[in-house]
Order: sequence, then C-alpha cells, then structure tokens
Amino acid sequence: MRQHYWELRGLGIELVAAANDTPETNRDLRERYDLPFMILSDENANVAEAYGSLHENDSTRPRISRVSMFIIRPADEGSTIAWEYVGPTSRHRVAPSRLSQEIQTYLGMRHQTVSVIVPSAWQVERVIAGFQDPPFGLYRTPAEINEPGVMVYRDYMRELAMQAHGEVFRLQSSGWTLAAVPPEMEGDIAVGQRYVFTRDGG
Amino acid sequence: MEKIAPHLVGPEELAGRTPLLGQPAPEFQMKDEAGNYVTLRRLVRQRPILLHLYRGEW
Repeated sequence: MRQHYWELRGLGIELVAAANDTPETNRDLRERYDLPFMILSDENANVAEAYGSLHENDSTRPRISRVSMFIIRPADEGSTIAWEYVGPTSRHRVAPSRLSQEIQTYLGMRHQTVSVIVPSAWQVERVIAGFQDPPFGLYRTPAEINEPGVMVYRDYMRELAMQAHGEVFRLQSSGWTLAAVPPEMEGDIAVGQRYVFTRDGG
Repeated sequence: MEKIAPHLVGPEELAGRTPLLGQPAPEFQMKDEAGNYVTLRRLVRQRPILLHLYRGEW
C-alpha cells in the first residue's frame, strides 16, 4: 500500500488502513515497515463484518478480515461507497494497476494512467533476505506456516513479482498503451522497472 | 471496542456477498495507534477516503 499512499494523496484521497490487530501492534508494524500512513485497529473485525468482508473462519479462532478496499465519498456527497473490492480470502490483494484504474474512474478522469512496478530479481531476493527474522518473517507459530493455503513470505514475494509481470501482459492485451518504461528508483538504486500505461477513458 | 456498526451479512451469505456499492458506508469507530477513537464521520468530513481492511501482520 505504500506505493499507493502518495498517489492517493496527490489525488486528494486519504488512505485509511484498518487491521485486526491492537493499536500497539499496528504502531510496531508501521514503524518496522516505515509506512507513511496510520493503521486503525479493527481488533474484533466488527468493521470487517459491517462491510461484509469477514473471512470465513472456524469460531475457535480470532475473527479476521478478507483483504478489501472501499472508496468512500466525502460527507457532503452522502458518505456512500463509490467502489469496492472484497477479496475471496484474507490473503488475496487487489492488483495495484486495477486500483489506480478504479480510482481514476471514480474521479472521472478521461485520460487514465496506470503504473505497474516489476521488481528486479535481485530486489525480490534482497527483500526476502530482509525478512528472515523472525523465521519466515510473518507467521508466529510453526502451525501457521504449515497451515494449508498459507503462503510463507518468500513465496509471497515471488508471487507478487510474478503477478506484476502478469499485470503488464493483462494491460497490454486489454486496450492500454505502454507510454514509458522508466527504472524504478529507491534513492540512487534501481530496484525494478516501472511500466506506465495510458488509455482514454469514456 | 463498542460495536456500533449494523450486522449486514451472515456467514452463510458471505460467499455471495451483498455489494455495498452506492450504499452509505457503515459508520464505525476504531482506535488509532495512540488508542484514540477515530470515526468514519470525521474521516470523510472533508475528503473521500480509501478504506483498506485487512488481517494485519503482513
């Protein structure tokens, strides 16, 4: 979400993240990952439930949210939901380029631009290497790692990179024009390739 | 946290979830990192928001 934050800010939309964690965990996580936005605490997933994005779960475990996103209009436009995405599980994310596309459609932009960042292979490996403490980075117990359907972070990073490739092909084959391919920089270091696509909206 | 949001869907309806598109967004209050309550009403007072719900611990 970090890459979306500044884009959203520039478009006048505030990013509000809400996780099924305590305020303390959220603060630790934000500091650890150096996230520029605040994370609210939907500890019992009551908000997820109200928004119909509760992950189907057995009742003995804490309730958790599926990955979901809602663009909510400002109060003077009735605080209605302008766009929604609710993933099938707690681990399915919306493709970044699709999110950009939806936001620009909501804002009524005729000329649409989306970017896909494909990280370079060494960058993927570097990020994976940075997440080895605690082991596998993300899951607290061995049981969680072995849980069916749960991906460990290494696989997840590789999958993200593959998805980015997939997004580039999807956009190319669905009416978008490749406008520019600048290197993606993190400071002085090129960490991947940015693919900028444009399209005239209706 | 006090539950102020209405119950909209039951577990059996989750697979074919009822879309909320165009509906008023369910009001909520959640704690920020400092433990202060933040309400939807306040968040959307001046601008649209992108509300991102997720499990956490990513």
